[in-house]
Amino acid sequence: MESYLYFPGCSLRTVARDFDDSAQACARALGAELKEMQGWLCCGAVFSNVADNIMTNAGPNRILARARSEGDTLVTLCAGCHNVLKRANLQAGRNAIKQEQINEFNEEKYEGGLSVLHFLEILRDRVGFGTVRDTVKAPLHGLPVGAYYGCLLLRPFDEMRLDDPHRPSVLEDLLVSIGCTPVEYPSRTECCGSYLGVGSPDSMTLLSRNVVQSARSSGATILAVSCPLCKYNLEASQKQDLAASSGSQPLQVVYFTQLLGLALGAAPQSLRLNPVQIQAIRGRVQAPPESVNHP
Amino acid sequence: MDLMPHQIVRFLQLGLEEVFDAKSYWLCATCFSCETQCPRGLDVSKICEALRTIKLRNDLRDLKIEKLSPEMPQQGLVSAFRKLSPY
Repeated sequence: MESYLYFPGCSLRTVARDFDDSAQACARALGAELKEMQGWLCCGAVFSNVADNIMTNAGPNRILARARSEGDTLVTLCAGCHNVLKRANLQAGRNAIKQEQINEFNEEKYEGGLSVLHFLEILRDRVGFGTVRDTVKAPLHGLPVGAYYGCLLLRPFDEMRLDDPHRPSVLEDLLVSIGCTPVEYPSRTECCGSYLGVGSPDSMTLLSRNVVQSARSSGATILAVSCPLCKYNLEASQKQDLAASSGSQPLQVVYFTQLLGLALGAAPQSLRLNPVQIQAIRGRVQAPPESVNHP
Repeated sequence: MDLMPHQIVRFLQLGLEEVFDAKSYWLCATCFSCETQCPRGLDVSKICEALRTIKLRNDLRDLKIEKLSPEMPQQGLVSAFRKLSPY
């Protein structure tokens, strides 16, 4: 069984247990294991663009140093953690003087040698979407899912390099392999408002509402995300809007791992899907298309 | 947004310190969308963060939180404090 060293992060152990549990269920169904790294701590949630303050990089470097003592690959799920750890890892290789200062402060040495990979990259590049398709037990035929990338998975592109920043396809390709019919909508790489929801919730609502409306008007009935903060914002903006206009159903927001887990045959409860989400998915899954005889 | 990203850049080019009175750079969510699309390759997220940092280091302006949902991920709180408050 393939075992991957894994960094959960703070949100996945509290408000986003659904993301954590469903990803672990997916790994198990694919004959792999996400092995939690020892002694992890908060990654800092955002990477600092300020060049003269290296303190913000102390935390991520402690994580990288500890992960390196256990292996050479670190897998992340939360798009925020992934962005921070990947960029801190790249910076460690680029600036030797800063790195020495950080290492001295931390009293834990990180000298590179680790690959920080998102779980999507493991599925695409190590497991392969072909294997995913062959392992699917309950395909979600015809489910109109809007993949939501947001910002941190893709940008800044010269550092993240996960997919094309303008026309990404990794989430759609995964969704196709489990039978879904992904809906491409204009705002799938636009910002949900991120941390603006803390101090200026109205600004966050404007941005999230744009994403939800874009997906809805393109025919999506579910949004698949990879970030706890995106999920919170997309749901919070709808709560506000639905309170004002009665009658319409909110667009359900789930983690891509919950859809994948369901298609791989995991029980919905083990993926922490709630009854409304299960209904939104099951209600739209179609009977399998007529089987075609492939040579 | 009172100043659009290109206007912020123009204010800076002309050395106009009135740019600090704008609200726009406090509304930047560091989504890196501008820099991905800018035909001149400008890193607008970095520029906004620089403006905020200058202001935060001098004024000790702090993040005001009126109401917060218990469902807000820690990730959101930590990001907001890191980007919008002095430390």
